Amino acid sequence: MLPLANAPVPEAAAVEASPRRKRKLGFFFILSLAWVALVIFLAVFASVLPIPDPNAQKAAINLNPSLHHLLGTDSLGRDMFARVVYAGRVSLTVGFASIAIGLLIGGAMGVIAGFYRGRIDRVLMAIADVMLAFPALVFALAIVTFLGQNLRNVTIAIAVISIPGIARIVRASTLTFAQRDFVLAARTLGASNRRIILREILPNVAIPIGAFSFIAVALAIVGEGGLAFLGLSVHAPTATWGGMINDGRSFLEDHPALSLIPSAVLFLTVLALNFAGDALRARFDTKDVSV
Amino acid sequence: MTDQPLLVVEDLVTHFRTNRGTVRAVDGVSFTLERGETLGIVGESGSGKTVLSRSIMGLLPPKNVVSEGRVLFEGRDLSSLDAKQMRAVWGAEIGMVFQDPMTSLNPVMKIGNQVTEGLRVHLGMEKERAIETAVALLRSVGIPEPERRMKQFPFELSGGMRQRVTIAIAIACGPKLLIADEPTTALDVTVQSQILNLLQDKQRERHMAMILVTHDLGVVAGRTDDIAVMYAGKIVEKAPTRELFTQMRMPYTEALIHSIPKTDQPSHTRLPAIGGRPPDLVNPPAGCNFSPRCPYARDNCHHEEPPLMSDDTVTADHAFACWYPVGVPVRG
Repeated sequence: MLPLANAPVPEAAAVEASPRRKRKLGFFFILSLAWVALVIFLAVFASVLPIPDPNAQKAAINLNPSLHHLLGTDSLGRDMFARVVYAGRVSLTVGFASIAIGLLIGGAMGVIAGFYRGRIDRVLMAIADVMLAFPALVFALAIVTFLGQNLRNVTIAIAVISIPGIARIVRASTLTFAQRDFVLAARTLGASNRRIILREILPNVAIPIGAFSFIAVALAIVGEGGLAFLGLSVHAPTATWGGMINDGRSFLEDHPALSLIPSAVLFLTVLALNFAGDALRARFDTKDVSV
Repeated sequence: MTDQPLLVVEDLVTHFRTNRGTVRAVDGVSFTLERGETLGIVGESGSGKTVLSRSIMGLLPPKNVVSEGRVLFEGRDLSSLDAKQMRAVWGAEIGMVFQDPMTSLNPVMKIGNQVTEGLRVHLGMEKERAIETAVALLRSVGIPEPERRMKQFPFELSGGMRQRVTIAIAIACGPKLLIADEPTTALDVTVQSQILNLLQDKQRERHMAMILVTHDLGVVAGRTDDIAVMYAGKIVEKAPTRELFTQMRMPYTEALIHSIPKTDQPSHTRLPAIGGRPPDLVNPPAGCNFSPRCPYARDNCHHEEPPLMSDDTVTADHAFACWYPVGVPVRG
């Protein structure tokens, strides 16, 4: 008889002996989150904070930064800081809301296609391919032209554009998890398909997709900026980053700050979201960890 | 009701249609398992053991599969059940333990939730009672500090611990049959015997029937009532465990037993291996599947396939598929 056979389970000690190896998220991650948090904070509380009316044309035009006007004023005498902050409202709302809608619809399509495979997969992916093949700008133009130029319709346009990409990524992620033994194990315990999707697949898919959605939000914000630059986002005088860049375009030679400031804020926000998303993706990339 | 066997597998066939042709993964397997009995299914990689256990469970993909034969569980034909009825059987009446505890637990769900899930779904337990039961279950499978483990994630447990958890999950709802598919293959040798002992204890304690699928004859020796040896999708010998080891008739069984390392041999003794490769299940050899590798093969072995039969040199429970069984003088 092996002495081991009845010995008190020795592997218990191993659990304590191997502490969880944490990969550092790093300085840039913190910095990125701080920037995004700052932009969100200002956008949410803009009306409560002592920030001037972004559409009031009270001051002289094209002032340089001062204590009164932190970032100066624009060509109509409006406070640039206030406009940048209020523009953040539009950009962030469109960015987050459109991706939330995209995740809901595209995510559902992707999980269902990846889990059930077969005909339903082919139909859903054919729909996604058709959507991908349709020129995004033309589509956004059509929506905004026919449904009206407001925050809701811009959000819908970008949401619809984001759906096929999200659906494809979620499907790919679902495919890898649907093959795993724990899904089969859940089935042998009598779990229904719905239960398997909700309890076994979704929580696993959510981790990489959550990290990816940061990057998707960044892309959506760039998309909104592009539409605004073309004058297709919300109506003037409501400030948007893209719209401000466009407004400052005629004064580039004398007052480059009018375009550069919103560009810089847009750039930093998108960069921060990308950084954060990348760091999270690397952190939760479980391919090399056998969990 | 009680006098009929727990599980009857009749002429079970599972073929996969592939681009290369039909893969005969399980090719006419029959056996009977009584309540509380254990059956070991032994075979090389690719002999169809895993497909057999999944076929019994009804876990095969719906496409490109040819399934024939019957699986009677307590007299009910499992293949005639719809998805909902099948879910009531899975977990509650038949439990399954998988090979790799690293992948058979959900990495993002706490151990506690994974153990209580079945209790709540099948037995309709309240949350508190399910947690109490789960703690007791984890303790009974030898997990120290079960309350703390309940709140941990699978990656915080070692391989042996995780396999204990999967066993706890599989037996949680008191199944009458437990299918363990290579339950120790992914584990350290030192942990293997602990897990096997645990399975055996639980099986006896709960009077479950158990099918232990393995490629390692050493795993089933002394732990099962009967052993079925599979080769190329067929059972080639089936006997009570003790008799199989002492009076094997099929040359393949003999070769398998000879290839178990023995500690009493001097060091550097060459371990006999079985020459050749397992047959291609798309184009199985003519005659006896083992004939190309069999040291005793004669002419008719290459043309005629031997049926699974018994003779007067062995007990009635012992059957083998060989024209020239080991240890029996050649007749005629």
